[in-house]
Amino acid sequence: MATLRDYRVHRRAIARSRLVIWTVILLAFGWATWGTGFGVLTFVQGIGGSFAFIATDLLPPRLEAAPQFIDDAIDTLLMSYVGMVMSVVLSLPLGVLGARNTTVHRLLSYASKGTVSFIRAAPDLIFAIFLVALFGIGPLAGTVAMGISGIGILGKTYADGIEAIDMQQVEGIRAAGGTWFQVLGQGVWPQFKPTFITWSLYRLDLNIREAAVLGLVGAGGLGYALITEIRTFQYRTATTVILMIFVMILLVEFVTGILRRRVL
Amino acid sequence: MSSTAQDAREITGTDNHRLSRASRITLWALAAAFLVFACLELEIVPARLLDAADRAGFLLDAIFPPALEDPINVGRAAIESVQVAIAGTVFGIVLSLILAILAARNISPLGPLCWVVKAIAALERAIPALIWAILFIVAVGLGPTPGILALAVGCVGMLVKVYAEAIEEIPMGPIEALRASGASHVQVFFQGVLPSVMGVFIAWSVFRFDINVRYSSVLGMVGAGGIGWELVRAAQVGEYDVAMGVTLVIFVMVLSTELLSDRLRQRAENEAHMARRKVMEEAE
Repeated sequence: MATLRDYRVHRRAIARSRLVIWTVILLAFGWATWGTGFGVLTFVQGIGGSFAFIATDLLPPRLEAAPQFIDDAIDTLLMSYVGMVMSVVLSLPLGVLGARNTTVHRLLSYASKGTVSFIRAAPDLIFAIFLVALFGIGPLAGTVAMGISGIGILGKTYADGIEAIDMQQVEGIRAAGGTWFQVLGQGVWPQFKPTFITWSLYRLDLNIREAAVLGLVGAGGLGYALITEIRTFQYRTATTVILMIFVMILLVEFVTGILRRRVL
Repeated sequence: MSSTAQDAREITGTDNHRLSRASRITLWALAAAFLVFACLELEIVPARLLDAADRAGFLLDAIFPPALEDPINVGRAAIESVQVAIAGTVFGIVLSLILAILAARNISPLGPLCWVVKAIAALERAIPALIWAILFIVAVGLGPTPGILALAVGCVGMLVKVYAEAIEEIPMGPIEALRASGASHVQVFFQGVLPSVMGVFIAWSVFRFDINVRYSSVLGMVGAGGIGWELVRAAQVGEYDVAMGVTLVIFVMVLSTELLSDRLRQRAENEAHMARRKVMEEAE
């Protein structure tokens, strides 16, 4: 039971903490709006103007253009899938080496986790820029960009997932004289599998969204089609592409949802 | 995690919702076949990869050592990116909070129509912030304004979903009590709803800020202000050492804002925790 004095001290601590947080947020916000010349008025005007533009120029979508983008849609799907597999293959060793309980050496764990954080900090478009220089314009650069940027999220969730497992099963196999690989296969994998499947499939969902952005740097698929339509002022066709991306996202989420339930 | 899966299996007694061994092998085989098909279709073949290996040497030569042509300009652009991220996130949070109140089943003034707001949020989630930026540039012109608008609108899909879900999970007891004692809608929201969802609210808002900092660093690529333009310009003229230099600046920018936002979040979460305790004690 809290006494009245406790309660007052408590209240004062809350008030002080709240004051610091709000001061920081308000200062940062003031600094940002001053630096960019942006304000509530600009916001309202901008949103209003933009939605007027969307209502007059983007709608209604030119749906009869949809069939010509089916190939691009399939490309996006394939790119996302290959990109996901690439991320999974690259992230598994990083996850195993990064997790404190399965790593070979503590230094290797730090190195692995550091690499993953580093990749997570970079926006995928940055990878895409350098990869387009390497592979040329086309789906390959986009696929590899997805593959690499996926390490940022999968490497982390894999390592966290492995660290969260129950070590007793693992100790049992180790005590019975299992090699490192046997320990991983028989002790770690069965417990880690649900995390692995959930997050890997989630990455597929993300890749479909990301594909739209990667089109900007010429990485193929629906994203590239969207950018091309916008650049040539074919806004109603662009809306069609946006709707197709939306349908693809829903479809993939539906299918991965089924897979998740079945395989888990 | 797997132990709960095992428990579930033991409780249901049967394995009928799971695949048999044979069909599981088939599934993996299909996945592998699809991978091969996809690679061939996208022309991801060893020959092209070997080709690229040749070019990798040249590219690495061009990238290292990284250089900065005009550090003051790049620094200013980086600061603009951070400002765009802050303003975009603040406006996005306010917008999302209003929409989340409309979308949450239990407190929505729209009643059964709340799903309309949720559907709009889902549609919005399908469009990445960068696409919004391109559309806003067409609507309001170049500069940081379309960038801020894009980040603000780009938040909505994700934040409305998580805020509304958090609001739907709050215990309705204190809300009913407030209503019964004659509190207005605004009072119910600030005294009953907000304290209960504060933890979720802070965690997701800060998470979104971190995402927005990353986004704002590339918004410049389409002309929406900030450091992205420096990067894409350098890449277009083939100055890959400068592009790498700008990339490193982006890294510093992203990692340092993440460090700061993490500090702020820890503080705010402590505070939210204390405030929640206060609500509980007052209820006692």
